[in-house]
Amino acid sequence: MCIEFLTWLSTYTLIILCELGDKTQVAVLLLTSNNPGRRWLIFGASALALTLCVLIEVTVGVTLAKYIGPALINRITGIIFLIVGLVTLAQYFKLLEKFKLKKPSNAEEVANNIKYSAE
Amino acid sequence: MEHKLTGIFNWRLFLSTLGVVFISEMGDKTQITTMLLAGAKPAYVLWVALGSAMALICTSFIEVIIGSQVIARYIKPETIKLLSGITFLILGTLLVFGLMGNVELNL
Repeated sequence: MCIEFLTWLSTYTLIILCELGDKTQVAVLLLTSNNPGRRWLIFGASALALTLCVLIEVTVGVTLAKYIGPALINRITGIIFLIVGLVTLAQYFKLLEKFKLKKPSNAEEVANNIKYSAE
Repeated sequence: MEHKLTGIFNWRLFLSTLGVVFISEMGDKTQITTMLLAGAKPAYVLWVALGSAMALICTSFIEVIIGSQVIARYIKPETIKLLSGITFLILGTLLVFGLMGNVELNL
């Protein structure tokens, strides 16, 4: 086995183990369970985002971590997660409001279910 | 026509997923690991990048399957929305107060 392959394999295994149960995973999990019909879109977007992340990590990341430090980066991430959480909850309560105002008739419900499963 | 296009490809969802995943990956232990590996083997940076990218894509594939096939099938969309809102708030609070994510790797 050549050293290139060994480097690749060790990185692959290490990253898979690191990524399990991480906050990125939680975010992707929540996004897909919110939009199950668009799972391939979400997969594409997250794959693209992760690949971009890897590019940044490998090039700029080393210097960034040296000057800012992971603690501050985590704090900024936390603030963004709080905003995302608030927006999701606002959407949830809007959904409830709509449901209270206008209860869908049986025909509409069936149509929605068909649309949902078709997606 | 426009409605049809948004039905096929939802740009808003695509961009928001891109943003959320990109930002949540920042300062993560995965990122620190990749940085350290790239720093440790600068001659094989391409292989480190390739391994890391493939591993991340595989894990997000697993998450997408679990999220859409298991969670979305058995829990109502409204409940998922409520739960994910609360989860994002908890994660955000933990990250802001430094209770989570401050990883120190000793490789």
